[in-house]
Amino acid sequence: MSLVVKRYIPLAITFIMGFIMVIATYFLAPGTPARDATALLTATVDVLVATAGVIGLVALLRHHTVNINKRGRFWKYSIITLIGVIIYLIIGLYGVATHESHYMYASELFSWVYNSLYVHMDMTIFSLLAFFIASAAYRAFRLRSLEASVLLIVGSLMLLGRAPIGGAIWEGFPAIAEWLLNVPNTAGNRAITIGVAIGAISLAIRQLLGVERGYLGPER
Amino acid sequence: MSTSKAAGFDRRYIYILLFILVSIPLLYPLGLPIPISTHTEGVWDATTALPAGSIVVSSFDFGPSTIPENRPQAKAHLFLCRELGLKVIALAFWPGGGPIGDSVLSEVYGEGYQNEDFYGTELIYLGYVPGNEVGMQTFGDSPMDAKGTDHFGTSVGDLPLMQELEDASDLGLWAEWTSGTPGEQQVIQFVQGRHGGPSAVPLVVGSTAVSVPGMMPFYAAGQIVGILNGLAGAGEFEWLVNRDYPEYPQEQGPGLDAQSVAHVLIILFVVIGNVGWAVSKSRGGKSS
Amino acid sequence: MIPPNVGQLPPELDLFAAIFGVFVTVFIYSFLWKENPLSRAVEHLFVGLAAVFTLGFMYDAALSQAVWGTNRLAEGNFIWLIPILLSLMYFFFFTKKYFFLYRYPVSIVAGIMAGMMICGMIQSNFLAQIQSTVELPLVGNGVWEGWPMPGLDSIIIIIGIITALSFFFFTWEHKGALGVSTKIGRYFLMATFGAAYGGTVMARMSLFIGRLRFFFETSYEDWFWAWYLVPVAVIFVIIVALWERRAKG
Repeated sequence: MSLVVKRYIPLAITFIMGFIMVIATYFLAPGTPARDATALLTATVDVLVATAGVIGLVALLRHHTVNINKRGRFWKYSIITLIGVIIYLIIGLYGVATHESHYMYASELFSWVYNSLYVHMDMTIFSLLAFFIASAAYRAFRLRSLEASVLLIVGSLMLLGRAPIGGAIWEGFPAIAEWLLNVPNTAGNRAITIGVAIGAISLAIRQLLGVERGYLGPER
Repeated sequence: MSTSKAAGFDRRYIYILLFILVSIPLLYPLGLPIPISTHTEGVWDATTALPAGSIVVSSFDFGPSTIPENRPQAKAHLFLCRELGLKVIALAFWPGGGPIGDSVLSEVYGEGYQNEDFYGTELIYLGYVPGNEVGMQTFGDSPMDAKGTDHFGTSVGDLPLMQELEDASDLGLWAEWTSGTPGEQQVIQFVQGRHGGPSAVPLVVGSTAVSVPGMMPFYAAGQIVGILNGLAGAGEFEWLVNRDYPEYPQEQGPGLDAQSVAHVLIILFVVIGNVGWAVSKSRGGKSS
Repeated sequence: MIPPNVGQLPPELDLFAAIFGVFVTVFIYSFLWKENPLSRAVEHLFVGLAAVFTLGFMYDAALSQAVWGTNRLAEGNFIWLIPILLSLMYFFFFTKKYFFLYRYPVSIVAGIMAGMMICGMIQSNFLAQIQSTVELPLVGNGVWEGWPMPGLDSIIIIIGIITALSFFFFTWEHKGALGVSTKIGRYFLMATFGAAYGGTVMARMSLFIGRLRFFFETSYEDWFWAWYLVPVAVIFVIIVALWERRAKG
């Protein structure tokens, strides 16, 4: 297949779509039919973004199936993953098949598994970080330099000021924490925000002009 | 076992200490007073200044992992909106936020709220709106195009409140409950910035505490008018709501007491760790 | 209308959910002590369920966006067939010969998001921030009333922004005036990171406190409390961990 079809047409599509968005934002007034048409364009793209999630599930299934076949590391646990996927998928597809709207969430059991079983796992896994932070506070945070000291002192004042105990110990702690957030943190974060914005804009322009092609995936 | 030791102190003892000490205030609350920050007052002032009948968007952009912080923020704010007679369009740009929003709305407006008379005119729940930032921009430009049905399968064309909203500039307030991307920055970039700025689309944010320092430049620029900072912000806002509406329960007190103990513990760990390090360094031992 | 979920399932499932929640929480926390078969099993189950629920919600959202509802496919607006057909092209990702077709929907999304990024970032993250900095009052009532020297806050912010930005100038060597500026900027960035550290600790502790509240506040019909099962789950973990150690010899 020629390079035109494989590479240059996708790059051209990227440029045209980006160009339309920029022109629509800066040259089309809200409420005009042309601007409404771009809203319809982004609405249709919402469907594309939503269906991209299917790729993730298929890739996950492929990874764990290969792991089981090759008796790779923790292959027995891959069986647990696959069993979970298959059972939950069957529950969801039952909702698709039986409910007039064909929504997966229409299956009461599907939404119950999410609300009553999955959320516990999600919350607990994320809460593990609390223990690692506590351990790192004792073992790793050292006042080796003036800069590290500034970091830790500001962090400690923030911790005291943002919990009720700070105000109970001394009424100045909450005010100090608020000042730290509003002044030095704002200054540093604003510099970071501006820097990130410049970087993001330049990356987006490079993407539109076809210089950055990583999003196209590997050449096959 | 030996790999978990450092400086001769097994880190698992730290875990046990944390578990025990943080549990105590949950069983025996300390009742510490909650100081109210200006950021939280900003959310209160922005909401109470709205005339009755103004349209508020309540966006559940968080997943189960930050329920302890974001859920109480959203619930207290929705209660206030209900009491003030504000019209609410609730939605979620995170998939995980969809069912969470339904659960919070059930608590505030009652089970089966979607079957009540006020649904469609005073309250709408769109559920998960696909597209992330693209979905946000679509909703801001043309709400009827953002999604075809609400969370319960009703066509948006059959919901009168959606007809009142031509674009984001018709909103009185956007309340963003967020723990990442898409979140408040995307609302500022793709909704507020396109429809007249902060004066046209005022934004209040209830966020996990991790993200708050990063949003301070936007708060300073007026793009965000109020912030609820994590669990503390939720507790502060609950206090404000309870002050004017005593029937609203204050539920975050024990959690904030436990948070106080946790914070003091972390500071103590840092101090003790550094004292131990300094002592071992002065004795000419290896620094660790 | 999707029927409401409440009242459709047997209430005993709430008890099962509480029991399941206690056990998976303890199994995951057992990872802190030592990785064991139960913590690994729960992690793998979590990954599987997460993939399916994400798929489910996104599929429902795509359906409600393109098929059902006002002016959509079900009402005869066939323009919505286009994104559906385009999204099917994602599956060419798994082929070798026709992989290039996968790039078409990807390039549509990438182009639109890049265009949106340019417009959104310029206004909100760049111009508005610079405008806000320039508009900071140096005298009189400052941005935050009540602070005794409001102008001082503004001066600190301006100095902080300029010096922190200068830290990211990598075109020139950080010497002389630029060196002094970057050194000051580094301290402002350390303050920023300190605030971020404080926020991170706050957030993670809140999540842990949320789990503790689940243990202590979850009950079923006043005779079952979730924390009753914590010792049972811990004993279960110990037994399985000892069994694994014995099996490995």
